[in-house]
Amino acid sequence: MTRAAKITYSIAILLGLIAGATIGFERTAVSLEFYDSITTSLAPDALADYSYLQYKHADLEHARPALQNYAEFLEELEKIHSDWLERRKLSIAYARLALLEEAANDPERSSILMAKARYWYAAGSGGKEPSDSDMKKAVVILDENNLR
Amino acid sequence: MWFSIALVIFGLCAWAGFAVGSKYAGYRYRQRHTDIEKSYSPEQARLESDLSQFRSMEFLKFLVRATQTNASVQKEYLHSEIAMLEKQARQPDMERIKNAIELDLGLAYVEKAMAEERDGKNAQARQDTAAAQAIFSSLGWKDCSEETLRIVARKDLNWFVEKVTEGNAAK
Repeated sequence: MTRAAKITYSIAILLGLIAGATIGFERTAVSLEFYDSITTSLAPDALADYSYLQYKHADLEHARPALQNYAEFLEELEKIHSDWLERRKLSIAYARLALLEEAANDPERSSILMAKARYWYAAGSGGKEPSDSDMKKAVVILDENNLR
Repeated sequence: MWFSIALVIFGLCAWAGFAVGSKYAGYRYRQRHTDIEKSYSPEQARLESDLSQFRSMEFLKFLVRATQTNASVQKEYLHSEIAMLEKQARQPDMERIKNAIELDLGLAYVEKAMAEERDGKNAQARQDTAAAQAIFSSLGWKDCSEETLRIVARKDLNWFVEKVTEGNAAK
């Protein structure tokens, strides 16, 4: 093997490794960052979808724990990552729970849950607490339009 | 001649470098997450673990919905989604999110049944629908008819399209 060939092969090895490693690292890092950015916003949606569909289609015994689970999850999330949108979602979850209890003839529990819904709504909007009837109207509109 | 050999060497080394670079990026990603997790309180760690499960659930769901226009690719993702959800549902410490996983699994079976029917595989479609009905029945659904489940699955698919459209409009 000539000296020129040896040098060319060495350069080919070096350049190949550097180029490949750089491209491989960049492409994977970008994909993982994309995965992170997408999944962070999607994560709570899975539980939101579940609780909403259970509320719409399941019997009381199954719909109630689904909404409670979602509300508890959002309250825990709120302690770590405070966000007005999460508070608004929390308010709607409690309002839906209140409507469920009202339909199950438990006005006392319904009223406690509606108070929580009003509290979280005000906390989310930074304004005054809405009335029970306004909260109910808002939830009815959301439900009619299939909005979670 | 020797220049062609140099090109082959370059290609092989680039391929090897690509694999090493990808592995290193994955290692750095995992390492960063491990470092962040070390600073969590037990409560936060449990929440993050649930969030992480939701993320992987939602990511495959996202891929299925994003490929609605390409039936074969969508079906491929549906198979992966079902396999992953079944695996997740069997894992221990999933009590809090197990039902949410089951619901997604049920919806995936309905969507797969619709896809199989489009391909003329009616027996497989019936099998998938039966699997979905068993899941929704265990979740306490009042109406587990094929028609209702398909309406819900279609709405779920459309809901994603609306969300993406809204997102694009906002941009």
